[in-house]
Amino acid sequence: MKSKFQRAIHAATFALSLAACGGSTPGANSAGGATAPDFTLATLDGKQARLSDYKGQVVLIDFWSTTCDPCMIEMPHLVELYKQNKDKGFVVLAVSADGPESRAQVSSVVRAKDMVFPVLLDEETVVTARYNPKRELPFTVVVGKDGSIIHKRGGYTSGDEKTLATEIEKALAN
Amino acid sequence: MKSSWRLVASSFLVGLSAFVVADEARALDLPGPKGEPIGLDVTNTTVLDYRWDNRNHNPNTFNPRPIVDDDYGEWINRLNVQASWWRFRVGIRVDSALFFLTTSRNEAQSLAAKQIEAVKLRNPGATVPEAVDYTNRFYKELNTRFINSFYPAKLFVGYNQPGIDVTVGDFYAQLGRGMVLSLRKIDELAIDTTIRGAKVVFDKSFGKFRLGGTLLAGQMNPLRFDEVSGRRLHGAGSPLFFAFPRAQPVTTYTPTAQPIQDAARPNYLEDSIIGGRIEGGIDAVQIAANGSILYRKSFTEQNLSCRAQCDPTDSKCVDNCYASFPEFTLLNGGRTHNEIRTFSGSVNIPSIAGVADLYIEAAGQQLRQGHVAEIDENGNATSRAPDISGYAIYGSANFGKGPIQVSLEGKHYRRFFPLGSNIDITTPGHSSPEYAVVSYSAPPTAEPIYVEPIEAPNVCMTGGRARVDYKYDDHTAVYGWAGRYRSFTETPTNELCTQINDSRRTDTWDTAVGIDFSREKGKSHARAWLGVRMAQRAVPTGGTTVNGETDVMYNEGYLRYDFVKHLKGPFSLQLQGFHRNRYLPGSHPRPWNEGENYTALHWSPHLSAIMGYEYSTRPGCEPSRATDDQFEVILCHYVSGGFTYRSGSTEKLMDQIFNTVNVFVGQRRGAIRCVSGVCRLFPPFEGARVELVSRF
Repeated sequence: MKSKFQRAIHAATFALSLAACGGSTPGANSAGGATAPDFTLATLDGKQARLSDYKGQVVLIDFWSTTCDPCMIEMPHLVELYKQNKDKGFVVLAVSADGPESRAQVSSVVRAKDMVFPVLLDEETVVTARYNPKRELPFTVVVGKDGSIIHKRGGYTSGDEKTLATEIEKALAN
Repeated sequence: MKSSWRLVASSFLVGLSAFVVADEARALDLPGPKGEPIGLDVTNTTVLDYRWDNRNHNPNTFNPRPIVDDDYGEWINRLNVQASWWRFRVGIRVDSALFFLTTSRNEAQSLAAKQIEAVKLRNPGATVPEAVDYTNRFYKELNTRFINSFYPAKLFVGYNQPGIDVTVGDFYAQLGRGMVLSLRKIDELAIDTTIRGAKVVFDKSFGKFRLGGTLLAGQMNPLRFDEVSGRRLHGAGSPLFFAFPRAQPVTTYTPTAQPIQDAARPNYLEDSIIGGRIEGGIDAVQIAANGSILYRKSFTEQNLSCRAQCDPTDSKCVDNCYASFPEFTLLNGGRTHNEIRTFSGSVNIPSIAGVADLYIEAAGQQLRQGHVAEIDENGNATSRAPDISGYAIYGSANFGKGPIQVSLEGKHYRRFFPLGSNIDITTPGHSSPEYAVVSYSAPPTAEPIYVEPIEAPNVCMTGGRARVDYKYDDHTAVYGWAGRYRSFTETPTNELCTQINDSRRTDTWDTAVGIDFSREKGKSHARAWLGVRMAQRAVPTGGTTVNGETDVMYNEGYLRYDFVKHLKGPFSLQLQGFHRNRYLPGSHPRPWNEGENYTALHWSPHLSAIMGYEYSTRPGCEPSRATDDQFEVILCHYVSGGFTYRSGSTEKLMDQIFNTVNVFVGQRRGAIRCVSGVCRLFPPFEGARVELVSRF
């Protein structure tokens, strides 16, 4: 039983590797990235937000938490980036990974940091696990206008906002 | 075992080489039916480390645990593959662990003999165990540690369309604010428990009114090996967990060198759960009801029946009973009952005039089917742990106007237990004590996340916290908080909260003030806060090692900080750390200091070089240096260095393979680390560790 299973895994890995070796894929979307899996999450203001509702816009999904220091340092830069580009078809979805112990702080932080974009609540870490299996925070995913993932990045250090701004400009230009 | 490892290694290498030979990076999309591509997301995390002496061994004691955790290496790999097509998704995570240069049985023999000799040499009058007994302790310790493993840790298939989401397989879940159920991903603490079963989430709007709900059922699926300790968890067997690691027998020896083989014994029982949530309301007000029933897997009656058939002197017969019908020493508090019903109702007002919000949740809990202590001749229970019922009320509110933000939290819990896991943490040779922290619910603590719990403070507690933030300008904010808590379960032997009186009462103040400011367009930043925590007993009592009585339960003063200074261009310098003065007279004879400072030079966006220094004067921080004078202050140092590389992109193939690389060389002190309100004890680490995260 065990060896059958291991052979199956072996075969799956091999198939995956062959797929990676191949040329361009007919099904791949224009930006060349994998399609961003759709999800629905509750928002801080009591509504529901669905990723596919933002199709046609460049979406920056930012996984953050009130207890993550680099997330707090990065947040003003995301707010700035959003304000500069929101009229060009750009939106930030700030997905809070706060759990029971810190969930109560989310709205205070959102107001204090002037987070004017939609704030989504992923208390179950369901979407976090799907996009960010290592649960790195902050973790940034940029989704292109066609719904494909064009950029993923974990962590934040001072100066990274410049790189991110370039990525967003490129995505908006496509 | 060897051939299976060859298979695993060759799979990995074939996969890796195929990626390397690919001429260009490209997304892992495959053509799918109906012209819809199949999106593939592959994340692989590999950790390779080698540990040398972490200085936690007391040379005068005969505990094998701190000896075998020196001088070994491990390779941990987690391959996560997810595919999505149209509304469907499917995923698998394969976990593997390979240990090398660990203590062998032969080495255990010589280590045991050497330790006995060393103690005798230092103190000829010391009582020492027989060599064979001490060696047997090593064999038992090694029976659940450093075992090569390879298994499909997580599997799922899902379907999603507007209004409905179905998952079959592994999923995370939370009901209410963690009171009824909370299974979240907490990688920082190596906790990643899911439910393996089925979950349906639905949501439907009727004009302004919205109705939503969740239904779930399945069995608990904690990680089966622990990266920190190399310990493995063995389930009793369930059709849901195929190809999972199984327990193995342990062979020890009698003084006459006759082998004794204890049968393989599971150390984890797969509890089942059913639960659900229904929520309705308009955007302004939402009302929800949550409920779950946890059914413990238990073999107590069968175990007692089986043992009743054995001659009490026939240890083989008794051992077989435990192997066939696993029975653990149960810790109090939510683990002593086989059926736990937890339910709650909540009201959420997400926005009050755009300046405030309010959340209130009230929960009840019934612990039923208590642990069986005795059975009659027909195998029926005649004595059980009595039923327990408890409740909890939690509320939070926020208010923000202009530059001021006010945050309030309050809680009142009585005999309200977290849903502890069904894991053996005590039986020598079979237990997995490092898994004691695994829990299936997480009632909010309303305290700073780095507060380390003493005993089980939240089971019986009343308290609250107020925090005020004042934004002076766009770049400067100051804040402060004050918390006041009264607990009846911080003192030992009252875990079930049977006594709610002054003899068990502890009162705590938790306060802090801080500042947060940025300069140079946010490129330079400073956050620092200074805090005090004081917990006092209502009735003074004697500490275990302090003469006389004291009303101090726990005192702490601390400074925490994070400074970033932009230097030039892409370069910045960061200082991050904390310094604490602590006193816990119940178990420590004197106050102690501990702290850490990590200095990092960042070269955005790719590279960070980090130097770390940690220290501690905690009694016993380095047991080999301890003297008979328990008040003597010994300073333990921990120095480290490392770097982090982040490709910051997934455009090129090499950027995908080497997406994040962390290298750490040096020492870290042993400490309880708390993340998201969950704390676990990490042993000291001395060694080298490389972590590679690949994202495709």
